[in-house]
Amino acid sequence: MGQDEKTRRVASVLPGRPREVGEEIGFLTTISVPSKGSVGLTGTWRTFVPVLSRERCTGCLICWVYCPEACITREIEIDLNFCKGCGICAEECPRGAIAMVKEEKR
Amino acid sequence: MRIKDLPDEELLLPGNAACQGCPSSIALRLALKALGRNTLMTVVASCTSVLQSPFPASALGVPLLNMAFATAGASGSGLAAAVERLVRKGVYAERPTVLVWAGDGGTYDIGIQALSGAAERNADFIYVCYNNEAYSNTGTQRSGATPYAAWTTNTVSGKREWRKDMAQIMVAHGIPYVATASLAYPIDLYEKFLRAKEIRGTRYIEVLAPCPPGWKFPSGHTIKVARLAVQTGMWLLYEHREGTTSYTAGTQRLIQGKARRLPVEEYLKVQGRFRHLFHPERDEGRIAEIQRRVDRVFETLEFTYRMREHIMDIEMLPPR
Repeated sequence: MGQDEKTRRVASVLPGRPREVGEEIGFLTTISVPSKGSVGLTGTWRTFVPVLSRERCTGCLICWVYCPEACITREIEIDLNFCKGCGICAEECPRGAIAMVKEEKR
Repeated sequence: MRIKDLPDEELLLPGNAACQGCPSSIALRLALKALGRNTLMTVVASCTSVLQSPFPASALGVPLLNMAFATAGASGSGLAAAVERLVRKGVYAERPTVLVWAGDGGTYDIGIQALSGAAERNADFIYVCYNNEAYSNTGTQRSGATPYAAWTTNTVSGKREWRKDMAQIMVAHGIPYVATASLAYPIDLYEKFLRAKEIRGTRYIEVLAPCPPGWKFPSGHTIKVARLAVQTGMWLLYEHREGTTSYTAGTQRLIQGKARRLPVEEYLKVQGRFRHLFHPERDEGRIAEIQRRVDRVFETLEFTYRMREHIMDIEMLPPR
């Protein structure tokens, strides 16, 4: 493998290009692939579940910006597969639109 | 700049191994929003090396090196040198940002030698210290950043020494950009990363990261505690560039007298690691000592601010 070929292959995994889960990356490597749920469905860690009241929500996006898990979308939809139930959104919501409710037994 | 102007792209992916209410993932998420996809990262031993998750998955959407504890400055220098070489070869269309991510243990104690060396060489990277004031990843041991009187597993009656001021040590290195940030002021934090991105050379940003299991408060209170740290004056928000320090966001409002500074007690009593200051009986001595330190800092800051305003007033007068 010539020097140019080597450079090209290395460059293909460097930033600037999004990669998909399970994408062929060109050579045998121990490089991890960015993926959602890298330790499984973290929603199972939850004790309290956030419940949004649409009437009170003004869409100020404060919950979106503070969510450590990045599981609230800009349309304020909470991805319960990954929400760990930390309660930051409920604590910080200026309108009290999110309530933390004890999760039912699964 | 407002919250709704922040970019949509998520480079910290959900379903990672961070604890509930983790401050370092909030900081990382906002930092990567500012720096974008064209970033190379190096992470030293810290909670973030857990958060990035086991092989073959990665919770981060950017390339990342997982390095040994003392190597934050050294691995950052190496990446910066490699980027420089590849840019010269024309491999990159756009120069990527090198981001070094370390905790306070990897910065204040174990990594200070490599960081100091890299700062002296003015290596081209952004160094972020997310300061949770203890070795939280290994179960909360004392570090150089642990504040006076705080509980850790090896300071059971409260730490006897005062923390060192790493941001000021970095200011003394004369690097192009030093800033401190708080999670409770996300726009301020985001803008500091944007400004750091535009500069070349060593840039140091320190983020206060209130850690729910380490500081012993409920996971939902992360932002509240971060905000109280600024409102009580226990954490200062500033940026230092071209030889001048300018105070920002909450700290600026305190210095200008636009907001009232809360007593430090408000900040101490919401955290379990300061519980021995209030139970079984109040430890007036140590609380007063902490308050006195904060007061002294703010006296100087307020005096400097008033002097500067006064001088500006004189200069504005018409010449006689």
